[in-house]
Amino acid sequence: MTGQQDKGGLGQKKLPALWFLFRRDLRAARTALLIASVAIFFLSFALARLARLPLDQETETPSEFLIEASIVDEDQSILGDMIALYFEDIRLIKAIHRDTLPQAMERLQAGDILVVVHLPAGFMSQSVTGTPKQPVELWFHPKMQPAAFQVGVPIDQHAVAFDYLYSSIFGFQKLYVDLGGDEDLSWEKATSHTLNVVTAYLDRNRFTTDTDLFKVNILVHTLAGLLIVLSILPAMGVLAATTRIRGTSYEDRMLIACGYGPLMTARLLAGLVWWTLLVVPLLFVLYTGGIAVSVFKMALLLLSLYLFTAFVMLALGRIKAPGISLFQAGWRILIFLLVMGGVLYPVSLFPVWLIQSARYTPAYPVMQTVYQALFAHEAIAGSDILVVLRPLVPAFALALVLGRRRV
Amino acid sequence: MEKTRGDGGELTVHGLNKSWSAYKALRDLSFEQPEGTILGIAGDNVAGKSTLLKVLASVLSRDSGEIHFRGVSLDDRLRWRAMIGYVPQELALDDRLRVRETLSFWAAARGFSRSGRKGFLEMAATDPLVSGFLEKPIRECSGGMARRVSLIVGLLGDPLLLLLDEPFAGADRDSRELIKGRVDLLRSRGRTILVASHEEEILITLCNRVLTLQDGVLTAASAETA
Repeated sequence: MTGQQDKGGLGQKKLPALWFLFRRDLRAARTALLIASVAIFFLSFALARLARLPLDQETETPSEFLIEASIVDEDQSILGDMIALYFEDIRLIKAIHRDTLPQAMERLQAGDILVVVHLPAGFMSQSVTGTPKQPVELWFHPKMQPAAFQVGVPIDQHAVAFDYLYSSIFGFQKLYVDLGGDEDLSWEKATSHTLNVVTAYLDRNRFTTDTDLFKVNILVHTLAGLLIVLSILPAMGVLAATTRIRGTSYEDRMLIACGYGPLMTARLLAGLVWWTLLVVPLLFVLYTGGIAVSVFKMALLLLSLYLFTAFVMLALGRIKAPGISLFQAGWRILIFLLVMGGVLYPVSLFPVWLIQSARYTPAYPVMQTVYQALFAHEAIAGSDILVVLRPLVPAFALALVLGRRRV
Repeated sequence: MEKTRGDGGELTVHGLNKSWSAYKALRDLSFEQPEGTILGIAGDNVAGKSTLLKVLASVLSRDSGEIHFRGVSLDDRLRWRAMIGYVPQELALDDRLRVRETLSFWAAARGFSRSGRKGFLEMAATDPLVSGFLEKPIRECSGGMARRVSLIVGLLGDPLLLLLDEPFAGADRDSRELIKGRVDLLRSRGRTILVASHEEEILITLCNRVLTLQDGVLTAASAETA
């Protein structure tokens, strides 16, 4: 009893194999699919309610992030002006008040301001001679502890850095005078040099220089990020299916029976079913809620991201790397894509060189385009899609070269 | 005109070498096997039996050596794979499926159309190897039952060259007899069969000739019987 193999072409022979492999993969995941369906139903329901909210509000800095500060400048030196200028340039700070200490304390007690910076009288002149008697004091609003902590940490860091700069420069200047140098000239040069250094230090150590962090609409960013995450998650299933039978006799048999093509294609198709289940209902809700306009183009963008990641996972699943868990490596690639794509955090938080690098990662253009389309309720341009489709070519080549089992 | 190796229908293996780094699994292995015979491959564990069968099954690359069967080189993968059936040492079956589903699945994997699969399952319903437990899930099959299913899967497409790796492992006496009977039947139909096993007694009674491997080297070959 052997049966008779069909005489069809190679493609025709592989179609039943592909169909059965695809069905088997889905059947193996039917419980998970069911659970995911229920979860997506509830998520879609929540999104449908969310769609009624005015998402385009608060396009600028959300009010809960804005703080006010007070400077009590008893020193009346250039230092107070510098600190005020520095604070004013930070978008996080809405207003700087120049107060006396009682006024500042009154504001702090009323909860109008988050922080009071007190520069004691003679601080600058004492600092110049390296003999400050009173420190710069900070008071934080007691009911805003998390915010106070966040502001306090960089201020503390700056204080330590200033202390180090002053100690170094004026210590050296004092030594120069002790060694017989001209005292007036050395004070003048040291002061000038110090101010230059401090100015440069402030310029180089700002929280963010030109940021879009606080322009981000958090709700829309979360929505776009959710779509991206759900789009690339099915690729992990592709990796799991690849590593599960890699090098087994089962795979040997499959290789003889139908080659490696149907196995790879079936995994991609099973991932595609997952993608459809996870992403399409949400897109539909966003479309019917009027948030997403060009829903098909958005789906194409997200689908291309899934395909990119799935191709990479097909290749990763067959890489010979003794001692390395391929599944963990897969998760790391996923996290890398999410971080560099600005999904978890806006990329503007990164250093400039990293922002430039992030622009060349595949998730970045998808995230930016989807965010913009959701935020502005505008159509996606064809050129945006082309940019996103570009990484598919090398990823496909990678899957073909590394992802196939070779004998 | 020079005669091509193996074009008379026999299986020829010439100068076969296979190694992993410094470890040599097969060393300069050469033998011929006439069509319609059973060749036993005996040897202890790590002698190279499974490696040899995997190379012949075209699922493992070789370092050097020429392999032909019926005039087709092993390097011609598509034609080679269309001619062979491979039953690995592990069961290599999906234990979530029933026997019927398993057979249908592998028939599809082998390229059978819907009608081809239907015909195959109808034959399976009358095949003594599996007819008694077609609806049983693989995970509930005994070792012998699973071996029989694995053999049937290997026979899909009526292969001309059949490679069986430890086909009796874990099988009870009845299953062994059934498997031996089927292998014998296939020989009578002109199929060429290689059976690797560490149970030399079975090989001696079943095979036309037995080769013994030790550390990848051919150390003994029994005389061919009719």
